[in-house]
Amino acid sequence: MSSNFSQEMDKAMAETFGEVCFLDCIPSSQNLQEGVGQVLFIRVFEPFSGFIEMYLPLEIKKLTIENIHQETWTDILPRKIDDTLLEIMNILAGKFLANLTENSSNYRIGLPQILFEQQAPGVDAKVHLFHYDIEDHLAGVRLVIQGDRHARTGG
Amino acid sequence: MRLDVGIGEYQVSDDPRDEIKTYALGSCVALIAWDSAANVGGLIHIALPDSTINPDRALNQPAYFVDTGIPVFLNALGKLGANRKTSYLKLVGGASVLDPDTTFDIGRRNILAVKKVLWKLGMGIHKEDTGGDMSRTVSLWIMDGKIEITNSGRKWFL
Amino acid sequence: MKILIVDDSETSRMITKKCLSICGLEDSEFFDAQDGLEALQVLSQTPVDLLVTDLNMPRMDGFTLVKKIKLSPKMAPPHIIVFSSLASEPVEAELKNYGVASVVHKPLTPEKLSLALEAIHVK
Repeated sequence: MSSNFSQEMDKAMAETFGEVCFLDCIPSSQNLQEGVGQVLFIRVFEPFSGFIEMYLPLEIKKLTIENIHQETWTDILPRKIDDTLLEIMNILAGKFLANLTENSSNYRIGLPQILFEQQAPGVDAKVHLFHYDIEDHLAGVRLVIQGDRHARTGG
Repeated sequence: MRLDVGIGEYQVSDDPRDEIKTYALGSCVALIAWDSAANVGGLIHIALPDSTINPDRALNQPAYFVDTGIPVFLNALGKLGANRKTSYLKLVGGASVLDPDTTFDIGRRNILAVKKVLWKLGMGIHKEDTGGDMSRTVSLWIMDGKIEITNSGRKWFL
Repeated sequence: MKILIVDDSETSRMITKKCLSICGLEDSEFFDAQDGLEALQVLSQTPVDLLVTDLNMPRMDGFTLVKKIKLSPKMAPPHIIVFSSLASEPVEAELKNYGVASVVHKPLTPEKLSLALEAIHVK
């Protein structure tokens, strides 16, 4: 299994936003400011216990929705917006875990959810933060690995 | 006959004797279309993703940009009888060449822009040979739709 | 051609249908299901030529769907393609034992689908 979480998450983000939304996503040295509203969340069960959260500002959500659906933001039902963002979270998690496990072992995730606040990492959790520039808009990802099933190393 | 395509140009043909060729694709992309039923094909060599940076150039040379070039290219193919249902689209180029004036990878942006425009038109790429850091020269033979890519003496087909 | 698309995400079903159209299957008759349970209901009433299914779904996931189809040859489509964010090599091997022709990593793109369809000689 790869031990470079940062590299694998960077690759997963670039592939997800590139292949699904046709948006260029690159790592950023700037931090996304707190309080971005909705949190896209997905639980991970294998190869570790934890979760992934993604924070997307409104501008990225708009670009994403409009590129995929070819409709203007104001014309799309909120239900459809949520469904699209959840699917992006699902794809990101799958790509990240596939990259991490080098596609050679099973990985299990829950169903993606939209939450209104970050989840508490829990005692002894390892937290990794990643920041991205998606065509001049900042996005963030938080990877939380919980309990005694941490990956052996992380970066 | 060989039809050479420069940067910001395109060629379409229904003559089975023709070879359409473009050279040294770095960050530029070549979108190649081939309709096996009509025996019509074409190639467009595009430099940049977005024409809003230079609308005047886009007016005079629409093929220089993804957003203005692709519609013009597809229209030309249609006039020769190419049908979307029986056509294949392939993409070559978009190598990573960092522009010193920006922080983004123009090659990757070109690739994404092509796919975005095609998706909007209900179309997509069936095969691609893109990215990396090498320059590619590519030829399309109208006789059979064969696409040959070369780089530093190596040759392969898409 | 009759094609059943199974995924709990409406967005994913839309993308799949669009990719199938781009790959030349735009004249097909498309059926939707949100999970394995709904898919079985559709299959019990309508024989389809191609089943394209996700794995990670509520109520009944794609693994269970594929296993149940294997046990019911009468409703089994001739071709099954799985597309999923959970498509690791061990998963792919297991699915192929259940008659799945092709396993594709999400997101589905015209290029990936084109390869999968070529492999099963569809289109």
